[in-house]
Amino acid sequence: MISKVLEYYYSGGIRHLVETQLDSSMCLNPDIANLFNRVNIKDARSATFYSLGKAKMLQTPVILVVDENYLSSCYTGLTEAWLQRQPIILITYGSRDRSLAHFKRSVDRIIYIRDNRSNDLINIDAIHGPIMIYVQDTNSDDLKIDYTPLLIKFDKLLTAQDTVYCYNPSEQDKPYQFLSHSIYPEYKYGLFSKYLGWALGSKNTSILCCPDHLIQIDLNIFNNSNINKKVKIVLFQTNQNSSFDKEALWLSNNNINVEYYSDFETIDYRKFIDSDFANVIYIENK
Amino acid sequence: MYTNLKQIQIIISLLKQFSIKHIVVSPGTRHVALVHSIENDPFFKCYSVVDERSAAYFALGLSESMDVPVCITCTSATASSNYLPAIQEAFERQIQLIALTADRSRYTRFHMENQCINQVDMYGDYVKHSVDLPEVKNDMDYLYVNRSVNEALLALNHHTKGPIQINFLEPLSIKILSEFPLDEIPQCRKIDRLDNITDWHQYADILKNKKRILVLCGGYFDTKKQLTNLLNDFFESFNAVISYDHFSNLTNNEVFILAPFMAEVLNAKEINELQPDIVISYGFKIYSELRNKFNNKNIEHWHIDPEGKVNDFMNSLRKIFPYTPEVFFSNMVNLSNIKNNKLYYKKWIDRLSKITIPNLPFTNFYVVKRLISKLPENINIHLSVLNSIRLTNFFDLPQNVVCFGNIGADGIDGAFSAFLGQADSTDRLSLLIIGDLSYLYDLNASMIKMDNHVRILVINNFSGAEFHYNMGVERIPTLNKHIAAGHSTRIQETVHLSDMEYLVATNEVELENQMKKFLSPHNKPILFEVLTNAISDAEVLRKYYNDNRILTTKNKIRIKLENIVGEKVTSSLKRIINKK
Repeated sequence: MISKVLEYYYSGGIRHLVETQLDSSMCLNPDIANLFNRVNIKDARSATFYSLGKAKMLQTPVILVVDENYLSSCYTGLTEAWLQRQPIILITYGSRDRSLAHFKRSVDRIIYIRDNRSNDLINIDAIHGPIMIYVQDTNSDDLKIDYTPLLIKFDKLLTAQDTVYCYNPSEQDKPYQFLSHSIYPEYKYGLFSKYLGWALGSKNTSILCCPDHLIQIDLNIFNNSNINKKVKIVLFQTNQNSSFDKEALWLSNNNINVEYYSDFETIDYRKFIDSDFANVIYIENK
Repeated sequence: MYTNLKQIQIIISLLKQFSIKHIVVSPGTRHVALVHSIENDPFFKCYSVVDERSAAYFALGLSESMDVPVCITCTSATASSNYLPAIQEAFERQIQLIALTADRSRYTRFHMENQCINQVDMYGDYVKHSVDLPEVKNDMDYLYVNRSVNEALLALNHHTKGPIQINFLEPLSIKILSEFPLDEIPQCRKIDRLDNITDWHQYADILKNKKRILVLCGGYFDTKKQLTNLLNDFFESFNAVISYDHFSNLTNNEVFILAPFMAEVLNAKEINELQPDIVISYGFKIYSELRNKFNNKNIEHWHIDPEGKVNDFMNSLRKIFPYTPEVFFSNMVNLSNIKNNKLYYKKWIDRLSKITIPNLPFTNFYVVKRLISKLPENINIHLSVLNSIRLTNFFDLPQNVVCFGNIGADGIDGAFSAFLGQADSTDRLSLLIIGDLSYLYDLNASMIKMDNHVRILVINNFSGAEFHYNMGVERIPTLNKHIAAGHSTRIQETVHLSDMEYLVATNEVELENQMKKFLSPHNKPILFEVLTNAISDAEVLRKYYNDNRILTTKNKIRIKLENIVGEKVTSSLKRIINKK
């Protein structure tokens, strides 16, 4: 992953790489590292100040690579670089068993790069001071849902100003009439609270499609005097053995109409969208 | 009806001025002064959501759908912790949330105080900006809170959108919290960041009507080097004075004022006479202490910063121009149709003309003066810290010299390494002027490969000379023991760590003899150690300042009194007179 970061910034025009205190597990891929003008400086503090002088003189970002274990020696140099607004891109790697929070005051951003998320990297035009890039791995095992049959139905009824929010969809983005927003597992908390904000703050139709179990981590938001007919939710049963009775009662008690269906064809979508009530459609997994 | 609590008044006034009207409120006591002040104000639209976690998510949705900042406010302790999940998401997805967290009883926190946790910066990296507001009890508190709230609100959409935290301390007294005696909220200072200016006329028109414009040039380096000419044109086109220091990297110009020295010698009466109508500043840091001579006087201040950062060093910042100084000054120059009447400029020049440099004994001051008189044009300089910066800024540099220094935090560490990074990026002669402590601090840098154009002047006075200047052995007899870290190390002992050639001077004649070789091309980098004495270095510097200060009658009386009755008695008398 470090190679990917280096490649990204090389393609952005950065040519200067300062290395310091790299553990053997973090040897840089020479095919990529050798593309840069490389300098190796033993003392991590000295290397940071050296990078500062270089970045300022050349007026270009300089990459500094250091093992996580020796980051603390970079603190003074990063602090000075932050005050002087000099673009040092510090790349580090490790098990993240030490807090990095204190570095917030000496870099503009700390970017955690997870698997396949290199799009979190900042374009060099947006780098004005030092930043830190922390390379790490994470995974999510949340089930994906195929919303396609549902979205095809909505596509006939909604306009370009309307929005459908889908949680963890399996399908790739397709060209629907309406705006389509995907929500990923790291943002599952407060999904219904957010949706109420989206729906009530918008002049147009907003529909939320998501698995049923998420309601268990956001129940109290339904006790809310702002809820009105704009609320349109489609819930998918994710476990055949699970019951939704208690949650449905809670929703009904808060003036939200709940209807059960077992296939997409029998749903009256027009009624669902146009009704004067807050509506939830619950699709059972038969 | 509104609260009497000034920190709340400032928050409300600025929310209105920033057009932020949606507020999601969770129930409680500590924020009641804020909540009751806004719930009856028709400007605001309040929403009630009990659970703070849901409230924050609800606000996140509102903000996202309307693309406006939305406030969330709650009482103290775990109430505010409930905001973190939505704050984290708002940060990652760039949504504008304002967490207005009420706090209590700082001095009893964690000592059995109810509903009291550490709320300061409690969302860590997941807010774009976090401020902690004290209870406003005096003018400095007011200025601090006013700036802090501006700073936080300006961060909401700066470069990217995202959440902020405004934590505000509230009194414990329920009576004070629930008093609402004011009919109106006093309007406080708003700082504007002027993104996307399409019409520069209004700003040029303001400047055309000013009689005294003071431009404070700070640390700045641009290889295109257009700024010197633009500032010269600005000087001719407005009633301006341009002050600079060597970190401004401006080519010498006879109408610019080399400012750092002036800040040290002006007396209170002179500062009043030289007071500007408006200050325009730029640069990551203004080394000159002139920046502090006109602060807290409500003088209109404009700061130019390409990143649009808030830099309110005078406590009177009004406008931030998020452009390069080249863009700002060229726009102003193009729109001016007046000429500088130079009345303000003459006041500065008159004072400058009274500055004299006497004959100097062999000190660090002397060494720097002689070295600068011999410097060639077109070189790079790095100044380490304190005396090397201060002394070099007494003198004009030759043309086309690039000057850097770690003045951001003004640390003693890292100058040697930063200089080598600078020198490695150029073929020009590169000079580091550094003291013994600073050099030894960063000695590891001597292991870095150096080019032949590297020149290092180490003025070794065997101690931290700054402490001899600002305190001296008269005040602290053991100064050299720890505070100034006196030592007997010769830098010569370290030269074998690198491949540098070594030169040394201990007097005027040796200095002159070695300087020519030091500043000429050579087949090796050169380290030049000059030995001086910290006590005489400090004495000469103090004398230089004192000789150039013009004493007011008040000062003359104080000095005479001090000589007769001593410093302590004089200070006591001064306090008694000031009270009356």
